[in-house]
Amino acid sequence: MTRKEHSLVDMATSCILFFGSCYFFVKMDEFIDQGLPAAVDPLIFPKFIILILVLFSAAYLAQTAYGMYTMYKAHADMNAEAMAYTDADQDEHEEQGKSFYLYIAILFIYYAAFDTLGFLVATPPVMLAVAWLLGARRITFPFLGFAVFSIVVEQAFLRAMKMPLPSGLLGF
Amino acid sequence: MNDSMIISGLLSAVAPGPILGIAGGVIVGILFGAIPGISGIMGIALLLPLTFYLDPIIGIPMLLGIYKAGIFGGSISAILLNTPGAPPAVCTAMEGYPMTRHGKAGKALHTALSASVFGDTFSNLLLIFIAAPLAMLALNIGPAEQFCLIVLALTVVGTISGPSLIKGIICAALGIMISTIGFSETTGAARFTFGSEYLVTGVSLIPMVIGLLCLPEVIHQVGLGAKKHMQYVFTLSKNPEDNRMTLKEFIQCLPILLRSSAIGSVLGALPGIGASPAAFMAYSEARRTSKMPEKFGHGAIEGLAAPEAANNATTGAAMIPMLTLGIPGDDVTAVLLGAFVIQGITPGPTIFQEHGHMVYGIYGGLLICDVLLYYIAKFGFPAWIRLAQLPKWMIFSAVTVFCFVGAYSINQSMFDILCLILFGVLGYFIRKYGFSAGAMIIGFILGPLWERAFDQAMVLSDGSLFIFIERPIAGILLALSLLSGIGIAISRARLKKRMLLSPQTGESAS
Repeated sequence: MTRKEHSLVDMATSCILFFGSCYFFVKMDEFIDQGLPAAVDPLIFPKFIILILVLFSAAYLAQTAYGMYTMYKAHADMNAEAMAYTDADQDEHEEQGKSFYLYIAILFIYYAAFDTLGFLVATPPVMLAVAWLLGARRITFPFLGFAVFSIVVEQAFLRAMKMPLPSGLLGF
Repeated sequence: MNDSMIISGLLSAVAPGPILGIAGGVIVGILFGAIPGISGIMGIALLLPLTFYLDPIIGIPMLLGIYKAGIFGGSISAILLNTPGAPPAVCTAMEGYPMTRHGKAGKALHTALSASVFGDTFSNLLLIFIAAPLAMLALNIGPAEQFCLIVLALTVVGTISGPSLIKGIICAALGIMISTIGFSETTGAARFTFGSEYLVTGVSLIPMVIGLLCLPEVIHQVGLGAKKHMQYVFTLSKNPEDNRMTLKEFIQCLPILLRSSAIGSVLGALPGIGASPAAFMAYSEARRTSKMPEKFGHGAIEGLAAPEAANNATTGAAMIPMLTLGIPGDDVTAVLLGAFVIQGITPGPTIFQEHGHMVYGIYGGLLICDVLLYYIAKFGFPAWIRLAQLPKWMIFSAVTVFCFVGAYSINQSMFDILCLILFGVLGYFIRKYGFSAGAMIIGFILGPLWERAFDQAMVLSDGSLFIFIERPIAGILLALSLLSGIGIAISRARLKKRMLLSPQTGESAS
């Protein structure tokens, strides 16, 4: 990631944090179901923390804005090539981004399958998919290993912690 | 507490359950420390749910076993692969790797182990003799003082924030805000649930800790893909002299071990300092006092023993403020504090009165841990060497499953798994953009304690904030917090200036 992109991310994050925390501070009363009458207002502590968040988000925003200003000022005289990606950097960046999205997709698929298919059925394919993302290309041996691993974990939880892992709709 | 209760507490750890728990913790700790890319704190996060099902006398020493063994385990990859898993192991790699290259990997590992166990035992004894009197001194503090004490504890955020202090404070504040979700302990009001029944009981600690600490590492490794495979093959030398630290060498190193353990213990007991400065300071002290400083950097045995003794000595000492005052010195002790809270035990000045027997049981467990660490690590050297070279697809696919099972196991709730994934993604971006997951965890764990102290102080003072200044101890603690904050800000500014002046050495300086 270039310094420019990093600054833009910082600017977006600081804006979200600052305006989000300001909004939350103003609207906080709407996000609470009052309990019994008490000597202390249940919002006093969260308000105190949100105030800290507002102050430091503002500082972060100011710091980022100042950083961007100095960066643009300095880079005005610089060769544009110095700031740009090389093709190799770009490819690596894209590759990492793709792996990230694939892994997150695997996590959500595992989340959906964990309860519906059950731990024993869902785990070996998910482990295989993660292993493939990490460079494993031979499938048969790891798959058998992952199946055995799943059975061992399932039995360990059942016997040692008396906690059954989800068996899914099929009852495995 | 009388002497017989202390002895019975200490002896309660000498039972099959605690010993097996500690042995398991030590094995997991060495394993997680030895494998490059994963660390002891990940092991603690993954095994944290297990403690929920165990007696505290088994569960807590087991986590401490991971903590201590994880630090030693880090030196295995540092010595064999020149890959320090954590900053404290940098000095270990500087001396240990040259020894490996000279065919003395066994000697380097044995020296690191002996020094680690020495430092551990030293700091455990310090903990046993200092913690209780310190807690007695702190016993008279009220809610206002507790509030100010947590302010002091939160200054630790300054040292674990990474490159930006502002980002660290924002993360801690976000962690505290997340801790306020659900029922308010004092008033019973349901806060920030947004109509979700799952949020009424609040966000669980375990999915958050596992999500913020473990999943981002897996995502990072997946991003690297198959590119960074390390293929090293090691065998231990057949000459026994190359595979052990001799008694003569141990006696030669004894003054350095004592000095380094003292350095580690003092720095470890101060919240926010941690193992890295202790290791660096002990290393530089060993070099300064050495008769042959020119050997340093080329496999000096004293240079290896000093940082190992110091970084392990921080572990027992870090428990002193955590147990007696409820102040976690770093992210690991913050997670350990969470483990105590899960067991219904709130560390602080009253812990010796309320759970004295158990605390002494934990002390007994710490001493057993040192013995087990020495023997398990020593006899397992060939196994650790093999494990340090496991392919990462095997490790991280298993870690993914353990993350899910760990998050699910506490409440058997799919919502916890959803939280795990969300915190995992958040943790990845936190890491990528220079925020601090450790600060967020510390905020989340200290938040409820801070709010309770705040609410109680407000009730006592009829809503007057002056209670935090009028009471002398509270005022002193606030002043100390201010001084600590200023000190941290100055040292960070100096470090930044130094790094700007010498960018080529910036990495090592940090």
